[in-house]
This record gives sequence, structure tokens and C-alpha cells, in this order.
Amino acid sequence: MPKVVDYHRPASVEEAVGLLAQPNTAVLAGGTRVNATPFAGRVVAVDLQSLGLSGIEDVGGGRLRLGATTTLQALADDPRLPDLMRTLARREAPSTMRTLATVGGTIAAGGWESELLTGFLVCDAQVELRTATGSRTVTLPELLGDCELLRGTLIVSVTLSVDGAFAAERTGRTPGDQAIVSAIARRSGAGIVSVAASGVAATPLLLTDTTTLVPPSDFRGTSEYRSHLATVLVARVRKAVGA
Amino acid sequence: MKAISITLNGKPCSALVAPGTSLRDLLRAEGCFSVRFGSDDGSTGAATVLVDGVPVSADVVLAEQAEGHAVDTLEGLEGPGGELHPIQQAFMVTGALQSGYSAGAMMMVTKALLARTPNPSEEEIRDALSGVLDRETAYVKVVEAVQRAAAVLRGDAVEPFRPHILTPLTNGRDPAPYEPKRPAPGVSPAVPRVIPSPDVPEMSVVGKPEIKVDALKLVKGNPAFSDDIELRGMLTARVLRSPHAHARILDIDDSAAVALPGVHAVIHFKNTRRVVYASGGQSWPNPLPWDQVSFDNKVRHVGDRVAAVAADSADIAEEALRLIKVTYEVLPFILDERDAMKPGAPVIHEESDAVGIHDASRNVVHHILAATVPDAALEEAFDSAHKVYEHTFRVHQVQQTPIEPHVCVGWLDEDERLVFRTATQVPFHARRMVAPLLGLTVKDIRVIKPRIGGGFGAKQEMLLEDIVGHLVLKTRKPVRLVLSREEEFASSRSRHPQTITYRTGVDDKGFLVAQEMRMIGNTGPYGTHGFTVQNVAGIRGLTSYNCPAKKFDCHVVYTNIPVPGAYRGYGAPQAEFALECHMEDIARDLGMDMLAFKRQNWVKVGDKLDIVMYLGERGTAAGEVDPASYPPVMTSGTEECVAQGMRAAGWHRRNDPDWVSPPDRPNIRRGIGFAFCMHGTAIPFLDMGGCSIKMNDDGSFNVLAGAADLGTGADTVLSQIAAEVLGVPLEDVKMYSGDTDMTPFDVGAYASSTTYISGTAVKRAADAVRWRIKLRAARLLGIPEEEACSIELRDRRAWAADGRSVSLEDIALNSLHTEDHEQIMGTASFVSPDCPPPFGAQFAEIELDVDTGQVTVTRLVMAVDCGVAINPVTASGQIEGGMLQALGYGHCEEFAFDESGRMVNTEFDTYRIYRADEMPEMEVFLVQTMEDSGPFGAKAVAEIPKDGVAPALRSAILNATGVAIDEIPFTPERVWRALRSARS
Repeated sequence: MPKVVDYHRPASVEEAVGLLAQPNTAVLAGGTRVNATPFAGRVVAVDLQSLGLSGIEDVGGGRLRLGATTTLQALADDPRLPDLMRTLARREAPSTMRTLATVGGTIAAGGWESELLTGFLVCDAQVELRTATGSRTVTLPELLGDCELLRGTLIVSVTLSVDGAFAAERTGRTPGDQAIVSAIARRSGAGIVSVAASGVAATPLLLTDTTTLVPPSDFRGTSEYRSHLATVLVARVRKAVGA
Repeated sequence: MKAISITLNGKPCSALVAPGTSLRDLLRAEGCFSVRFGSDDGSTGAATVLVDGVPVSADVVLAEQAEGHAVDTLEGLEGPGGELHPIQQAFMVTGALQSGYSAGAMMMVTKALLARTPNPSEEEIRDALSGVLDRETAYVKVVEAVQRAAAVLRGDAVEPFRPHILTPLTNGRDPAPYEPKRPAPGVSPAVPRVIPSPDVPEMSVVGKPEIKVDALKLVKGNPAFSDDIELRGMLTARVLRSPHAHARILDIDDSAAVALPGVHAVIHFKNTRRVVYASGGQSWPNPLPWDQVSFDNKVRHVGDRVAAVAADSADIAEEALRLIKVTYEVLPFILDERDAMKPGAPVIHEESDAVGIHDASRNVVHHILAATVPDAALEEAFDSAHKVYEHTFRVHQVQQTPIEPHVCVGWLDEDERLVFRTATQVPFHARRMVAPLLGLTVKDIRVIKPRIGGGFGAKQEMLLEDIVGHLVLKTRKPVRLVLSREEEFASSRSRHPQTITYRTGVDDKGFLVAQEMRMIGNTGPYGTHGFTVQNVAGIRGLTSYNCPAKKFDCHVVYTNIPVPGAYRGYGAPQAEFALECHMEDIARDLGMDMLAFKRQNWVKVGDKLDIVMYLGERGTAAGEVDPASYPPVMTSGTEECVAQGMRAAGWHRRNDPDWVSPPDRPNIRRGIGFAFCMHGTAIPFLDMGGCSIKMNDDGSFNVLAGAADLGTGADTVLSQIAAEVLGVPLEDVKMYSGDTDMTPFDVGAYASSTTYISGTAVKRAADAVRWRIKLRAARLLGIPEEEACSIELRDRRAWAADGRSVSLEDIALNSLHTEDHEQIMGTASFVSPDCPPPFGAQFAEIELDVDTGQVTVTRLVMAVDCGVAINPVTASGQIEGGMLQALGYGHCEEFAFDESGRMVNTEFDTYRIYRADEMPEMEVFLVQTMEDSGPFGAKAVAEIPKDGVAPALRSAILNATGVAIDEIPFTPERVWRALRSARS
């Protein structure tokens, strides 16, 4: 756990973004990342629990708006989400952590092996951000590609398109292991196919072509192996959604 | 400090907390000791509590986050009068708790689940448990406990939890024809399946599924563990660890750390006694080499000790560590044992005061040679062979990962004697070994082993006691040292990697005629268990199969990996992986059925365990032992184990092409594998247990045993043995164990020795007490003393042959208060000349994706002959938990290092141990045999389940794909590369 030298529980989004504009502040959503990551720095924790940012809303057109502090357990439990997305939320963390971990925290962490983020990508995720100067919405790929966007910024919500058909494939050491590589495809209600993969780049990616990938290596999978998996798994999910 | 208020177990609770205080630490400070530390990142789930009814890992919740919320812990589960909740009762009855370290977490998860879902599916239960790691039970009986609690809370009737008795499939000696259509037993996987032997008499307490004697404190989360103690003025210790794999410490400047307010002591090589020792917890004299000192001017692995601090708080201690300036001369390092002896390899131990290193200049710690025949005879046997096979295997480094880390609390008592309350498997060894390092004598020290949250060999070390002892003596204050999870991985102990080469000659009928095992054992930077583990590898690797000429040739070498030591199974899992794979490959080449080939060679009743006499701490040279003195196998249930396992595993499917290659899943192959397992029971002529039993006024008994229960159920098993002898129910036996001041000596918990060695000591002490009771009963019943032997003890009474009886209470009152006063008591100890092997048959079923290399283990079946299981529930729990660890060994666990020699996966997210929601199905069979040398027929059970899973997985992959892989674990990329290589 980092050295938390002060703690705030703001009552409004405005108060929260005001605090986050200060140096050495850290957003405390569920705490599974901030409180679990050892580092020597001293931080002021800004706890979002009183901001009312939790909840899932059907905004029509096959789209769901997920509040930033909605827990992954809430995603796993909500029948309005496609079964695959519920499964991905469950896989993202075990039971005693997914009750804390949040949608916003998962996006902010940008984990390269996150299957849930990979699922968000094929759902055309739009992320609502709030700073001291106002609000704006960015696409998830934009956000994952530019970590500066999160500096002094609060993630308010993410909106997903959840209509259509999904397919997922993964390879891991064990069934519950975070996937070495995962691939997820969605054929939208309009027939548009999108494919994303985890474990092949610094963040999960929307893919059009696997041949140009140069994945990083780690002890669970070399770059060569991850490339191979991407090719195999993407082909499978594309086939499964009829692409 | 900030004031916060929560509702704790239904009551208002206010506290002052420092910024950054975790909810876990707050709750423990408030007396909720069921909330336990497993790691700071929440991954063990041992600190799970309910916040507003939702289970969360309190490791990663700030106390301030909980402000205004309702928090529930295990302490609030029982009724107002202390009555057990149905969840607590269910966990007791089903044997769901071994050490019980994570009991609070498991039961609070259960409470939340059943509040939401009164009738959960098994999948829902496993998902709910996925956040609480368990290294002991394999979750089998935990799932059963949740199901039982749910049923009780719904008002459904539940059956008593008791073993399922099966009809034998064999005559106990010969193989039975395999019949695929025999039905499997239709009972829950958690229920022990017992195949009785007609040789075993009916008993009252032994063989019964008694509830563990320590269950109450575990299900209530009482402060039973080493860390569950608060002493006034206690200091917190932290250890500065080496960032380098190999470096010389040129200087340490501790001035800034010493000057930091709140720091009471800083110790390192410049201010600490230099006394050489070996940290492995073993009998005196500790096996060589003695190549460690408390703090050295050299570090030999990332995570090695550099300095230690005692301070008023953890924060201050950690700040002090940052202020210590260390000047290193960084040296080249080696990790792979195959590089250690190469010319030019860095020399890891060049110090002059190390004792007993075979050849320090070549990093060779030991060169172990053992043979049943002279070399010329061995080569002659190879020359005579029809075929000779040579095959090399590599096994890797894994960790025991008990959820409770190493914890040691030390203080000076009112007599100014040094007391340790410590998580150790070896309290007596620890006391003897730490004394000279501190300049004390054994009598100056008391070691108390309270409940232990799992050990599996990691705690068969004197690992923390010297650091804590130095700090206590320097500060004269109590000191607590708890290892972080990262330190557990990088700085405690692990399993030895090895490179093993077998050369085997067979005759034209498939019988072994010569077998040589060459091995390089990697003992890391220190010898500790390096000698004995490789010896056991030699014993286990050359004992399972009969062969007239055997040789073991082993180099034990230094490297710069984190220190290997004792890990459940010692060297057997490594050796049996190589041996079983080698044997299967020979069978395939010979065109023989694998089982038939192994069967005609494996040891049977009457066969001699020859190599045993030439290995170990008392080993002798080839030809110096009379073959007539080789210990024989007296009991073996192997054939019944194989028959039960084949039935349960559906063995015939491995030859069905449509099952192996399902037509509707073109990328999937399936396979079933087998491994023959054989282990030892204790170390003959060395492992010793002691016990003292005294009778109380009410006819109950205090059993004082030196044995160390790590959660295995040893206290329960020993109590059952005493109760059986003394004719009382288990509740009349009160066990106290593992305290060097209060109990007789015992070597500790290792080498599968407790039931057999300590159990025999208990039985002998109980026999002595029983005789005193009979004499007193004879007097009270007016029976001549010479006829006292005809008196029987049962149902808390002493019975004469004519049917008259006297209660044990009356006997106790008479002896203590009335006439010819006597404290009825008995003391005994035991060392065995035998080490009767338990046998087992391990089966594994897998699915393999041929495009990705992913192996999914779908089923594990193990049948074990452990003699008479004193308690079938705890025995089957041992097998389930052992298979869980063995599964990790073969499938997914591994130490991974970066280019600087630093272990990169020191947390559970990346060092993968199996969770509840991903376990394969498991089924366990207990095949009885009557081992007359053991207490009530018992042999060992704790370690044999570690031996067969890895080779059975390899066998299953071979069945599925035809590809043999000679290195573990079977991770996706390794399997994919092997398949690709085979295709090309």
C-alpha cells in the first residue's frame, strides 16, 4: 500500500476534480489498484464513493451507460449486459476484489492483459471525462493511447454498445488465469464486425490485421508466441461471428 | 490521526487511525483476529470481511474508506451465548478447515453468498470462494461445507458426514481385470471413499471421522496464530534485502537510520556475531555445509539479508531501511544449475570459515554417490541389457506458499529468558539452532509453536528467529517480524530445481537390469536442505522399481536463485516425475502396455528397498551392507489403488479415438495419464517423537506432544490414538503440542513422520498410562494385580472380565486424592528402524488445444494406500490439498527471473496458484492395509499426493498428442513449442 498521507471523500464531482487538480493526488475508486500497489511515493487519496457515480443505465439504441464507480461485481450480476461481458467482468478479478474494483479503475489502469477492457473496445466504448475546466467524451482507444488524458481528470462513465453477437477466445495457464492473449469479436446489430485483443501490445487493441503486431514478451509468453496466439484466436472469433 | 466510526459486528466502533491504515489493520487492532494477513495486495483474500454485507478484501481498503459503513467479521457470526452458527458447524463437520488460517474469510464469503442465494449451485459457490486462496484443502471440502450450511439454513435435513465404504475390486494382492462399466460411487467428492481391509480390526475412535480437536478455535477465529498476540511496547522489525543476485558489501553506513526517531536497533554484518550455521531444521548435527551467518558481507541472491531494523512502527522501520547506505561491488551471477560447474563460473562461497563445502571453487556443495553394486557390476549389467535408454528431464523452482507467511514474535519473559512465538514446523530444532547464533544456550530459550497457517516445508527452517533474537537482545523489548509476500517468494524457501538423467537397461522381457540416476541439484546460494533433499530424490528415484543394479550420482551445486529448501515431498516429486516419464517412454519403445511394464517392475510385498541403505545421513558405501538387512515392503495396496483409480478415471477412454479427438472440436485432444507413486514414512533411525500423558481428576487426559501440527490434523490424529488406547471419547483428550518448555522433544513436522513416529510415541505413552489405570482398577475391583492385564478400558470405564467396572473418574480421584497417591502418567518416545512406504495410483485427465498449447486439467483421481487412515476425513483432505499443490507444480507455477536475477512474479496474480473456481474435479480413495509397524496400522499420507500429478499430466498429454515433454510446468507456450517441434 502506498503511503497515503491524507484522505478526502468529496461529496460532489466538482469537489473531486478540484482536489484532483492538486499535486500528488490519487483517485481512490475501489482501491484494488491504488491500495495494492507498493511504491515509495506519498499520495493524497480522493475517494469517489460519495459521488453517486455508480450504476448501470439503459440509454437506448442498444447502449448502456456504466457509472465509473460501478463495481465489476455489479456488471457480473446485471442481466442487461450480454453474457460475455458479465463473464469478462467476473474473470477480471476474483470475488473479494471485484466487489471493490470499478469500471473507471479498470479503464484508468489500462491493463494490457485486461479482457474486460478488450470487451469494452469491441463495444465502441465512449468514456466521459471530467476536469476542473469541464467535461468531454473520448473513445476508449483514444484514452488508452494517451495516458496524459487522465492527469487531473475524473472518469465519470463509459457508454457501451451491447447489441449484436459476441465471441471470445483466450489462452491462459489455467482457466481462471488472466489470459496471455485473448480475442473478442462483436458483430453489431448493423452487421459491423469489430475485433480486439489483449496481451499483444501495451494496452488492449482494436485489430484490423494481426500480421503487423509485435507484442511484448514476458515469462508467460514470448512475442513470437503471443503473435501466434493472436492469429489463431482472432481467426476463431471472426469465424464465430461470421466475419 | 483521524477519528473514524464504523459499525463493527452490529455495534458502534470508533477509532483513531493514521492516514493509510488498512481496514485489515484497524480490525485486528480492534481484536478481530480472524482478519488475517496473507499479502498486502488482497490476492490471498485471508483478510476478507463484509462491508455492508459485501465480501471485500480488507487488505486493499483504507480504514477511512470504511467510515460510516457496517463491517462484519467472523467474530460476529456466533450467537450471543457463543453458539456456533450453522456455517461454523458445517465447516467443522466436513473437515473444511485444515490450518484454518483463512477460516474467517471463507465463512464470511459463505455468509454473504447464502444471504443472497440460499440454494447456490456449485459454480456459484466456487465463484464466491474465488477470492480466498486455499493452499491446503483444494476447496473440495470447503464447497461441501458451504452446501451443507446452505441446506441447514434452508431447513433441509442433512446426512452425517462420514466415509463411504467401497467393496474392494481386488484380493489386495493381484491385479483385477479392468471393467469399464463398473459404476463409480455416487457420493459427493468431499466424502472419503474407504476400501477396507479384512486385516484391520474394528476400533472405537481410530478410523473415525472425528472433528478436529482444534476446530473450535479455528471456526471462531480465536487468536491462535503466531501473529495474534499483542505485547506492550512491541517493536516492528523489517529486513533490508539485497537488490543484487551476487555482490560483495563493501560498506554499510547506518548512521542516518540509527538517528531516526523511533528506531531502536539496526543490525548488520558490522555489529552482529559471525557464527556459521545451516538454516535447515534438521536433527543434530545439522547436515553440512554450514555456510550461513546471520548477516554477511556478501549477498548471494536477490532478497538476501543485508540488515534489519526494529522500530516503533512499520512506517518508521521502512523509512530506516531506506536510510541505510550500502556500498556494493556487484558480481556476476548464475541461476541455472547446469552452468554452476562450468569453468569460469562465479564462485559463490569463497569465505574461509564455511564448513563442509565439497569444492567451493567449482560451486559443488556435495557430490553424492550411492550404489547397490560396484561400478564394474553396474556396467556389466548395462552390457547385458537387451536395450539401454537414456533420458534427461528438467524440473523447476516453485514455492510452498502457505497463506500465513513466516511470522516470529520474540520477547524476554519475567525470568529474562528469550521466548519465541513463531510459525515453525521445527520448534525444538529452531531452539537448538538459534542458541549459538545469539550467544545463548538452549536452556535460555523457549520456542512456542501456536497454530500454524500451513508450512509445507517452508517453515522447516530457522529463518527469522535469529534476526528477532538479535533485535530482542539488543533492545530488551518485544519484537515482531512478519515477512511480506514478496519476501516469502524471494527470501524464504522453495523447491530445488534439478536436472535429472536416467540410464536404464532392460532385458528382452521388459524387466529392469540396471538403472543409473545422474542428477544436478540446485541448492541456490546456501546448502540448508541441499544434501537431504537430493538424497531423498535418489531414494525415491531408485526405489519404486526393482532392479538388481542401481547407482545414484549427484552433484549439488550453488547458484544465485532464491534459496531452495524443504518442500512437501522433499526430492520425491522431482525424482518421480523423471522416473515415471522415463518408464513410460521405455514401455512405448518396447511396444508394451505402460501399466503392464510398470507393474511387472514395481516393488511389491516382500521386495527389498535396497538403495535406501546407501543414501541419507546414515548412508554407507556400495557393498558394505548385507542385502539381507535391506528393509522389505511389508504392506502394499498398489493393485487396489490402481483398480479403484482406473474405474474412477474411466481408463478405457484413453484408447477411444473419438474421445481422444472429439469430432466436433477439431482443435481439442483429450488424454488420461497415470503415474505410480511410492513414498516413505519418516526417516528411519533418525526421526524421533516424544509424548507425555497425564490423567486428570475427572478421568480425562492431557497429552503433551512435541509434534508440530501445521494444519494437517496431527493434533487430532494423535489425540485419536490416545483416546483409542485409553478407552475414552476424543473429547476427553486435551492436546498440547509444540512447546519446548512444556512438551517432550520431537523432531517436528516433516518427512511424513508425525502419524507414524509421533503417533507411536503417543500410543506407547498411552499404553503406559493404561497399565497404571489397570493396576489401580484391579485394586478398586478387588482383582489380583497379576490379573490386571485382563481388564479392558472402554466407554470411560475399566472393565473386569466378570463384567464389573469402575469409572476412570473414580480411578483418577482415588489415585490423586485417596490412597497410595499417584499421578497416573506415562512418557514415551519412538524412533523407527522402518520406513514403510505408502503407495498410490495417480490419474489425470486433460484437454489440450493443439493450436495454442493450452492444457486444461479436467480431472484428478488418486487412490492411496496409507495403511489405516487414523482419521479418513483429515487423510483425504491431505491428499486433496497435496494434489492441488502438485497440480500447480506440473501445470502452472514457476519462478521467473529478469536479466538481473530478480524474481519477477512475487505476487499471486502472476505466480499462479489454483483458485476455487478453476479446479478440476477431484476424487480420492483410501485403500486400507494393516501396517503392523505403525500405530494402529498407519503409514504416512501427507507427501505422497505430491508425487504423481506432474508425470500423470505428462502421460495424459502423451496420450492426447503422442508428444512427450520433458520439462515442467506444462504452460501453454512450452506445450505449443513441443507440438510444433514434433510436427516439424
